[in-house]
Amino acid sequence: MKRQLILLLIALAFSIATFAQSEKVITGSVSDRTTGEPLIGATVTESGTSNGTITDADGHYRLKIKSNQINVSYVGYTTMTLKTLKDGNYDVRLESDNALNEVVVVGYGTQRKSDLTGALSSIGERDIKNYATSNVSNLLAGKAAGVFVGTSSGQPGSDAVVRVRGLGTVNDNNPLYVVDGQFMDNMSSVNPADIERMEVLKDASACAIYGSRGSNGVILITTKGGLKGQTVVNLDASIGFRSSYKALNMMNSDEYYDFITTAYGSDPTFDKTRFTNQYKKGYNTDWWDEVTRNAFNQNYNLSVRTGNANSRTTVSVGYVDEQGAIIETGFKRLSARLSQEYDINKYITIGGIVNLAKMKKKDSGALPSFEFIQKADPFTPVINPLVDPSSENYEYNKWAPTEWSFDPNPVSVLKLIDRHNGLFNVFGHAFVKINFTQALSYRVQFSFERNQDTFKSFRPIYSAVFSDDMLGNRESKYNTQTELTNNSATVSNHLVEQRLNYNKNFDKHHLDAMVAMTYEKNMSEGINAFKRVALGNDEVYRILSAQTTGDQTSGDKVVTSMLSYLGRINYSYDDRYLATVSFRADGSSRFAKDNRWGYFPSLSLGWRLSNEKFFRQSSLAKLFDNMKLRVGWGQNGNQRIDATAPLTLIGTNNEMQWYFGNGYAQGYVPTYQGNADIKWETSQQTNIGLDVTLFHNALDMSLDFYVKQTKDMLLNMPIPSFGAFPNSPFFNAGDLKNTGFEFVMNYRNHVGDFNYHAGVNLSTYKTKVTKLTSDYLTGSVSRTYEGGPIGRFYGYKQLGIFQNQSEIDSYVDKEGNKIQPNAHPGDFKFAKLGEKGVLNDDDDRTFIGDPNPDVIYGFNLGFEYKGFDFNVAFQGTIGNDIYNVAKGTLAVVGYQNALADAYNKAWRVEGDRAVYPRITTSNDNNNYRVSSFMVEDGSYLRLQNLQVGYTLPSKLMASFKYISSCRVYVSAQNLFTITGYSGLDPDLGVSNPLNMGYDSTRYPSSRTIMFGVNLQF
Amino acid sequence: MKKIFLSIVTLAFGFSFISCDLDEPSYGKTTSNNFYKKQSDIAEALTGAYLQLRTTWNEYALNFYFVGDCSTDDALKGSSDGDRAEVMELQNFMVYTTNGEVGRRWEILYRLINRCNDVIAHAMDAQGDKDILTRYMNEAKALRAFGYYSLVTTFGGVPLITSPMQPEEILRVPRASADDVYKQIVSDLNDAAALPAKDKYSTEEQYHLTRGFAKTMLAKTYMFRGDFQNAEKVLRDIVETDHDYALLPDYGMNWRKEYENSSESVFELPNKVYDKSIATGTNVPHFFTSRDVPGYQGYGFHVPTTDLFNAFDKDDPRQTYVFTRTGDRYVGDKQAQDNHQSATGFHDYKMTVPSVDKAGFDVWMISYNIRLIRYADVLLLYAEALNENGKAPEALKYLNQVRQRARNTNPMDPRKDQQAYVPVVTARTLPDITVTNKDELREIIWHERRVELAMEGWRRDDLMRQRRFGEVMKAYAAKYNVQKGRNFNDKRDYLLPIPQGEIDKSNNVLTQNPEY
Repeated sequence: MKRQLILLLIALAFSIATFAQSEKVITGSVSDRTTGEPLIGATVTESGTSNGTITDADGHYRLKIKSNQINVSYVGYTTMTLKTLKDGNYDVRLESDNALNEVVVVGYGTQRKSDLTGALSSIGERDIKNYATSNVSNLLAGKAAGVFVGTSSGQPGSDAVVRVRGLGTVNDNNPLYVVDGQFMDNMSSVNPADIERMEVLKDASACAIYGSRGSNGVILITTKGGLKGQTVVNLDASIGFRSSYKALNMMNSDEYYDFITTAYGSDPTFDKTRFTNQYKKGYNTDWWDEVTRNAFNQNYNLSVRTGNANSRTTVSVGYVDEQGAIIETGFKRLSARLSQEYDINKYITIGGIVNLAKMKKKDSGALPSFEFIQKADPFTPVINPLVDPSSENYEYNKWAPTEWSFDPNPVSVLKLIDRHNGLFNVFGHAFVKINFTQALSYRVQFSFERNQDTFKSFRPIYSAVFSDDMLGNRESKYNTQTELTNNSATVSNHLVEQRLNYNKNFDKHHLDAMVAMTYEKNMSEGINAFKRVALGNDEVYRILSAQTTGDQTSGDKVVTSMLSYLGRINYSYDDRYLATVSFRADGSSRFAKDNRWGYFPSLSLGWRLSNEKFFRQSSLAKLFDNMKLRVGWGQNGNQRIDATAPLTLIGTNNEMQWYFGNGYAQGYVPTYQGNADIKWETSQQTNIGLDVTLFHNALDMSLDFYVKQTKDMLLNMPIPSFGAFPNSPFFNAGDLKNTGFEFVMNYRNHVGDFNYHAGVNLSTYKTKVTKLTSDYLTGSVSRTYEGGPIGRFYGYKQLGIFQNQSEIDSYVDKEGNKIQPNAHPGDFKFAKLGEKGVLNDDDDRTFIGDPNPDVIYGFNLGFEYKGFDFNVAFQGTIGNDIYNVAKGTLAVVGYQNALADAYNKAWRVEGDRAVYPRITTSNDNNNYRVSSFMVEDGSYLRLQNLQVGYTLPSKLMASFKYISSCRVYVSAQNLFTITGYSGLDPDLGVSNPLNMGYDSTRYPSSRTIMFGVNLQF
Repeated sequence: MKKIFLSIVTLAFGFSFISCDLDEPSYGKTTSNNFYKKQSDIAEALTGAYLQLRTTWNEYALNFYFVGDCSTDDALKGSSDGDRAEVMELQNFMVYTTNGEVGRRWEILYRLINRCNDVIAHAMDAQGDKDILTRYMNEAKALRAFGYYSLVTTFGGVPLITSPMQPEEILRVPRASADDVYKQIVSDLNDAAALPAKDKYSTEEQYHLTRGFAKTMLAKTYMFRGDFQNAEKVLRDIVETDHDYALLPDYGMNWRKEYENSSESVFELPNKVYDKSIATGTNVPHFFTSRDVPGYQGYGFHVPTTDLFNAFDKDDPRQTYVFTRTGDRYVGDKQAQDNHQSATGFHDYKMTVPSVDKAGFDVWMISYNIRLIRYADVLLLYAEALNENGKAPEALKYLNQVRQRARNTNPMDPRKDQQAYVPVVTARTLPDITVTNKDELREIIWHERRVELAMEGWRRDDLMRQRRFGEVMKAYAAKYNVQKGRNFNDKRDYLLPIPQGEIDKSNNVLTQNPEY
C-alpha cells in the first residue's frame, strides 16, 4: 500500500513537472465512428514531426506534444487531423473507408469479408473479450446464426454439444475444430483467454476444403499473436460462484410416508412396522441440498504481447479452478502458451506456438446415475448417528446407509469414491513461410498434439451400520475390499501441411490460388488396470501395487492416418463478380483399400450488386452500403467411424469360459462385426445467401437458405439377431435431407457518447430421412422412419385418467372387447389406435413428440457509455419437445423417493383433476409406459451471458505509472431461463441424434456469477 | 536464392509422398482373417459355441424352464406379479410379439447356432489332428442341431443358416420351411452320432458332447414329428446296443453334488464358480427358490402347480425330490424353507441348492450343474415309441425300469434334517405296469413322463408332440377356473411369435406366425 502511494506521488510529481516544461499532454481514445469499437494500434502523431504513439488494446493513447495539431490514422480508415490547443482529452472517431475490408480466416488462408462467397459466421475478439468462462464452446452460444450450443452437462470442464445447421446425419454431428491450422477434438485444453477470433464455416462451399471432416461445419480458432511495435501486458482475474439453478421437487418425509403406506396398504410383503419406525426417527433429508453447493470459482489470465520490426511474441499463463455445483466435482487447469514469429529476412518467416495445459478433473461418475440423488429416501440422515465417532475408520463408516431406498446414500458415494482424471496436454506447431515474390509464397507447418490422461478411481473399505428397521437392499451399501481402477491413455497426433499461395492483381482481376498437401497420423494408446484388496484406505494404499488380488489389465493401441491433397482458387473481377472453386481428396486408413479415397469439390459464386454502376447510380446506393448475393455448392464427407470398422474382431473375456471337466477353457467369439464394404458418407449442400449493409454500415444483415443432402450415412445398422452379430455393424445405410434458413442482423450506432448495439440471429431446419435400408432406427424412446425427421418420440398417447370402473368397462373396441381390462379407476387411459383388441405395443403406438425445434434463436444487446459497458446474450429454442424420463421413473412406488407431484397431484377419488395416476404398487396398467405423459414442450429462452463493466477513466489511470487501463466487471452465465418445461433443464445437449430431447436426469447445468478485474500495463 | 528455395520445396514434397502410408496395423486385435487357422483356434471357437448356453445373466436354462414348464399345467410363473411380466404372458397365452422372454430364446439359440457355424465352416481347413478336428466339427453339429430343434419346435420354420454370413446377407434370409429345418437337424445329428461314447472321454473332457446326446436328440426329433419307426431304431441303438447310460439307484441322487454328470446324465450344463469375482456359475437356482429363506436369495419363480402335485401317487417317493415345502430344512441350515409367498405352497426342489453346497461361494452366480436330459427320459421315449409301434410288452420293460427305480427311492431326503411331508412307501407303491392296450398304455406312459421329468423343462415339448397342448391347457383352466389356459388358441399357441424386432430389422423378409 505504502509503495503504491509513493508511486502515485511520484507519478503526480512527474506530471506536474512535465506541465512545467510547457509541453502539452493529451490523452484520449480512438474508435470506429459507426460501431464505437476502440481501434487498437491506431497511430497518433504530432503533425509535421516523428513524435507519435499508437493506441493500446483499449484504443487509448497518451502523447506529449509541443504543437497544436495531431494526425490520427489507422489501416482501412480515413486519416483525421485534429486541433489540440491545450491539455486534455481528445477522443477521436475514425471513419472506415470500407467496413467490408475486415479480413476473416477461412480454411487454409484468409479472405476479405467482402470477397466471401460461402456462408461463414465470424466472432471477433470484442464478442468474446472478458467472457469469464473456462470453456471455448461457451463463447459461441447465441452469437452466430445456425450455431447452437447445448450444455451436455454442468460438470466443470465438460465440452458442450455444438451443432452447426442442425443435424446433417444420424451419425456423429460434431463440428470440426481447427486451432491455428491444427485439427483438435478436445477443446478443454484451450484457454478461451488466448483466443483472438473464431470463424464458423457453415455451408459446403466453405467447408469443402476440409473434405471428409467438414460435413458438420468447421470452427476455426485463431489465437492471439504478438503485436508489432508495442508491448501490452494484460492481467485478468475473476472470482465468483457456481450453483445449481434448479432442483426437482421430491417428496418430504411426511408426504413420502403417506405415499408409500397408501400404496402398499395391507400388502403382506410390506413391513409397515419397520417402515413406520424409519419415518418416526424424524429425519427429512433433502438430498439435493446435501449434494449441491455454492461452489467457489476462480480464473486468472496473464498475457504479454510484444514485438518489434522483425519479431512478434506472446506469452500467456492461465489458471482456472472451477468447483462444480455438485460436491466433490471440479476442474482445474493451469495453462501456458508461447507464440513466436521471426522475420529472418524479407523472404523467410519462421515461427511456432506451444501450448501446455495441465488439468485435473473430478466428475460425478461415482454415481452410476444421477437419479441416485433423487431416489434416496428422506428418512435417512447424511451421517449415521449409530456410528461412534471415536470408532476405527469413522471417516469412512460415518455415512448413513439408506434403509428404505435400494440405492445408497448419494453423499456417501460422492465422498467415499476418490475418482479423478489428471491430464497433461501439449499442442502447437512450428512453421516456415517463404515469400518467393510478393505474389507467391510457400508455407510448411508441422503441428503436434499429445494428450496424456490418467484416470484413477479408488473405492475404499467402508462398513454400514444398519438399524433394526433396515428394509432396503444391503449389498450396495458397504464395501469389504478396496478396489482400484487406474487407466492411462495417450493420444498423439501429428500433422504436416505444405502449401503454396499465389495472390495477384491484374488490372481488375484478382486471383488468389492455393494448393496444399497434408499428412496426418493419429495414435492413441491406453493401458487399463484394475486390482483390489489393499490393507487399508489411506492415501498410500491408493496405488495398484498395494492391492493384492484380481489383476485385470488390458491395453489398446489404435493408429489412423490420412493423406490429403487440396486446392482452391478465388477469383474476383472488379470487386463485382466473385468465384471460388475448391477441391480436396482425402485418403483414410479407416476404410478398406478399395474405398479409401474420397473426393470433395465445391464451387461458389458471388455478385456484389452494390458495386454495379446501375446500383451506384440508383437511389438504392444512398441506403445500401453493400449488397452481395452468394450461391454455393459443395461436397463433404464424414469419416467418424471406428478405426476397425472394416474388420471383424475375435476376442474373449473372463466370463467367456466353459467347463469341460478339468478347469475352465477359454472360448473365443467374434466381438466386433466389421463391414469391409463401407465407404465415405458424403453430404452435398447448396446454399443461397444475401448480405446487405445499410445506413452507413450501421446495419448488417445476412440471409441464408440451404439444402443439405447426406448420402450413404454411416450407421450402426441393427441386423436381425438371428445373424448373432456382437454389434450393429457400420453400413452406408441411409440418406438424409436437411433444409434450413438462417437470418442474422446486427445494428450498431451511437448517440453522442452512448454506443449501443443489438443483434438477432434466427435459424430453422427440417430434417427428412430420404432413404433407410432398415425399417426404422431406434433411440431410447424414438423412432426414425424413411420420409420423416430424425428422432421423433414413439409411444402411447395418454388420454387422461379413468375416473371410475364404468369408464373402464365402456372403453371398448368395435367388437365390444375391453381395451384396458386390467385398469382400475385412477389409472391412465391410453388411446387405442389399432382396430381391435387389448391395448398393445404392435397396434397402439404412434409419434408422440418431435425433439427438433421449429426455431433456434439468439439475440444480444449492449451499450457503452462513459466507461460503462453492458452486454447480454440470450439463446433459446421454440417448438421442440422433450421426453422427461423423470416423470415416469421418479413417480413410481418402490424402494426410492418420488416427485412431490406424484403425491400432491395424484388421483385419489372420482372427480379428481389429477395429473398423476392413483398411488399404487400395482403395475397392471403399466401407467408409466412410454407415453405422451412424459412429453413436454421444451421451448425456452435463456439469459446465457450478462456482462457489466466499468473502465476507470483514462485521466485517473494516467496517474498510475504502470497501469494503463483498468476495467472491473461482473459476468454471469445462465442467470435465468424462461420455460414451461418441468424438468431440470430444457437445454439438453444430447450428442446422439437418435436420443435428441431425451432427458434422463444428469449433471445439472449451473449458474455462475463472476466478479473480475482486467488490468493493462 | 530462389533456386535453393524451390529445391527445398520440391524435396519436402517428395519426402512426404514417400512417408505417407495409409495401411495402419490393427494392434492387439485378432481378426477373422487370422483366426480359425489351427486346431487350438478351433477348440477355442468351439468353447465359444458351448458357452453361448450360459452367457452371464443370460442363461439358456432359465429360458428353457420358463418356456418349457411355466407355459404348461406343471408350473406357474411365481414371484411377484410385476416381476418378469413377459413370463406371465407365456403362462396365460397372451404373448405379444415383443415379448422379452421369446426374444431371449431366439437370440440365445441363434448365437449358439452361429458360433457352431464358425466351427463347422473352418474346422476341416485348420492345421492339426484331423480326427480331433472332425470331432470338434461334430460336436458343433450336435450343438447346432440342439439349437435348431429348440427353435423349430417352438417357432416353426425359422431362418436356416448353416455357414457364417455377412451382415448384408442376413438381411435377405427368409424363414425356411419346418421340413427343411428338420432335415438339417437330422443330417447334423447323423454326423454327430460318430462322436465318442460318454465313457470314451477322459475326466478332463467329460462334458464334451457324446454320441448318446446326438442320438437322443435325433430320437426326440423323430418323436416330435410322429416318426415312431425311426425313433424306435435310434432309441434301440442307445438302450440296447450302446449301453452308454444307466439309471442311478435312487431318483434323488440326480440333483446331488456328488452325482454330477452321472451315468444317468445325457446332457448337463456344468456351471462352476472358481473365483467369486468371475461370474461363471449359474443364477437359475436363485430364480427358482423360495423368496423368504435367508441364504437362498430366491426370487420364487417356476412354482409347481397343485395339478402337478395331484398327478403324483400319494406314496410316490419322487415327490420329495420335486417339491419343497414350508418346514423342509436342509442339513446345516438354521432356518427351514418358508414357502408362504408361493401360490401353491411349493417350490422347485431340483433347483434348490442347499446352502452348504455354496459355502464360501455365496454369490449371485453359484456352482450348480443343470441336468437337461436324463437317461430316464430316453427310456420313457423308447417305451412310448415301442408302444406306438405295437410293441407294448417290450415297452413295459422300459417303463417299469423307471418305475422300479422310483419306488426304490428314499422318501426321506438325506440332505434334509427336517422334512414336512415324507411319502409312506409300501409294497404297493408304484407297482409294475402290466397294461398292454395301446391307448391305455399310451396314457400311462405320458403320465409317467410327467411325474418322472416333473419341473425339468420338457413338459411343453411333450404336450406339443403329443398334440394335446390346447386340450390339456383348456381343461386345466376349466378345472381350476383360472386365466392360465383359458385363452389357448389352437391355431396360434402351438408356436411362439417371431420376435417383432426381427421382422422389423429384416424389413419384413421374415413373416409372423398365424394369429399373432
